[in-house]
Amino acid sequence: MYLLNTRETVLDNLERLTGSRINTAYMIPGGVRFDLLPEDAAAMLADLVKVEGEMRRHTGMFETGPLIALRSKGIGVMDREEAIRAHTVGPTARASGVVCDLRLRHPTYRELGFTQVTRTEGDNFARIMVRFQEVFQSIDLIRKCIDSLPDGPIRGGGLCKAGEVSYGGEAPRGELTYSIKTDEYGRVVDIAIRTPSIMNIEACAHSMIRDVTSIADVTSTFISSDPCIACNER
Amino acid sequence: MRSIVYYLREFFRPEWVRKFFFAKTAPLVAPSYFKDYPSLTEKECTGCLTCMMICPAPGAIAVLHKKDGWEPEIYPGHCIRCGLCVEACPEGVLSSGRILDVTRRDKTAFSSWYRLQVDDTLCMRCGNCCVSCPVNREIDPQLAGTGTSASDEVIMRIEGGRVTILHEEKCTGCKTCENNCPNRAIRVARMVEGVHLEEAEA
Repeated sequence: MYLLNTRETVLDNLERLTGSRINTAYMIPGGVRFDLLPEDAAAMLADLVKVEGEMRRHTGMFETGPLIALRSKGIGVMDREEAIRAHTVGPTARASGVVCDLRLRHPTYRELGFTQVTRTEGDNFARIMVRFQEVFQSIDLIRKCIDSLPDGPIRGGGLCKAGEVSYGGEAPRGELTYSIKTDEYGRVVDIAIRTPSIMNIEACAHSMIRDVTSIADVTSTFISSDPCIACNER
Repeated sequence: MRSIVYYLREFFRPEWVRKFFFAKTAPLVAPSYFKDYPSLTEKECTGCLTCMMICPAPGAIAVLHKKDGWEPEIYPGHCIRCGLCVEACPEGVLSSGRILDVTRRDKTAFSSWYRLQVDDTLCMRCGNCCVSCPVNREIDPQLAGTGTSASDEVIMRIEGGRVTILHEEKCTGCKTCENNCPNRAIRVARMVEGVHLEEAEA
């Protein structure tokens, strides 16, 4: 609940750039729809300072809070072998010490000097803290991006033609893969989406909550795998 | 403990107390750049249907023939507020947020054209598509019945028992042929490319 206020700030920035909060409809083949103005970039940087300060406070609360530690430290442990066997992805896997981040292979992120956040405990606390650390990492990445934003056209054109492609990218919850088949005019003939929650919820059901002893811990363990029910109920 | 202290200190700040008792929450106002459902401007719609063609949400926009000309209508339950219709409209009939200003500033646009595709295994050579096409009818008013035409300027005509597409670039994307085809053999494909106007001129 504390974090919803910070989320509003982030969504306001999205709205300033794209005009809407969630469904931004910002990217098109070959570019983006609107340019980032210098004054908008400055406002965004100012808001990032605010977000960073608030996140530091909340991270401190989570790190030092005894009640949170009671429900998270040493609970729902999933070790590295189990995480690999269950095909977990994203922060859930990184909290168990698995090297699993598609951004490491992405040329843009490589240029920005991206390094993976990893923790080795594999319990609920590690999964929360990996996500907190990634927020700070993302703030740094946004700053680097705004600093090194090149001038030039924002739309290069480009058309979708016939073909079949399968591309995986790193979404907030982990690896998200789209397999799309199109006909000669770019109309989608066949599409398959693999969302990260499919693997993570399975891993939670089979590995994480195996040693959990109370119902309250089951809830916190389930939530710590960051399940997206809408991603699975398709 | 630290957070309790933080909040107690926060609540005893005179500014906070004053706000709690006296301040009224400012009414929620959507900022000027918020992309709302597209609204009509004063400009006149020519009925080119570009907005309908670019719309990614099924059934969100329709261009209707009103008493004094064409007029696009948005169905809010279907619209996802992406604003693509606003950007694609060549006349600037629709407006939403600051899309019109930003596209003018950035000199961005969508160029779109249409491709026709006839599936020969489904086509039964009835010629309905050639007869129903409004562009065809304007070019060759004599075109009727089986869809044969003496004019070389029509979009498509029946030649030797087959639909032959002559001038794809004249298609306006109304999809009348698609709706009149009994077998869904003819398909109209929309091609859209996001372009930078300066580059296109150079």
